[in-house]
Amino acid sequence: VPESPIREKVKRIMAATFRVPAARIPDDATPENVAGWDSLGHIELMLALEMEFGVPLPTEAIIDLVSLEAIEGFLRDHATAVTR
Amino acid sequence: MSAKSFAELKQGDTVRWRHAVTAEEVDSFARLSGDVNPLHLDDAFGRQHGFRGRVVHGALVSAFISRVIGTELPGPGSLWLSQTTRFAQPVYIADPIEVVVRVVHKSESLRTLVLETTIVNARGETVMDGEAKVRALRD
Repeated sequence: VPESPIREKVKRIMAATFRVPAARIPDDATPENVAGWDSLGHIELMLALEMEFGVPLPTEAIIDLVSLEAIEGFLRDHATAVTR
Repeated sequence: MSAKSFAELKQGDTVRWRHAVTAEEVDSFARLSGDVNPLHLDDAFGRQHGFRGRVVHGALVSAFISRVIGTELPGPGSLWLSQTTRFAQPVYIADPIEVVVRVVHKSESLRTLVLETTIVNARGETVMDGEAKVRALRD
């Protein structure tokens, strides 16, 4: 099954943010299984997502977006058609 | 420019600060950091290795970014989270340089700025560039 464009893009952003190969970002990625996804890494990831998708992330979302699945779901609901 | 409040800051806001590094600053930085590499302290050594003279420590040049961040953009109460740095050209003593810090992204919820950090010399050449992420602790 091909990856959704959002998931693929988020994986690329995660790889660049955490400085790991994209292949090392699993579909069930969380701070527990991705090197570099610590508290500072999370801030950097949220900033990168805001910049890449053009979506301001509310404070509650930042606390909740601690898995690839949650991030993909949030962006599917909030990102514009253009940024998808 | 005096420091704006975080609420007032917006994408594109830019602060510039000009300076010419003195020999005394380089010598002081060598003592402070312990980096007594002759490339930074000995004009003859610098010339022997293809430079115009002794070269200002890159860390001293990048420290001027800290000055701008801590005093002007975003100013007092800022927390420097990260910085990427590329040293593109050597800086020499007495050469005028200009530190340019520009807001490229502002995250309201994270109270964090992404800043483009550039230092240029009098010929307009980039001597250092990079990106900083800075959280504003005060309003």
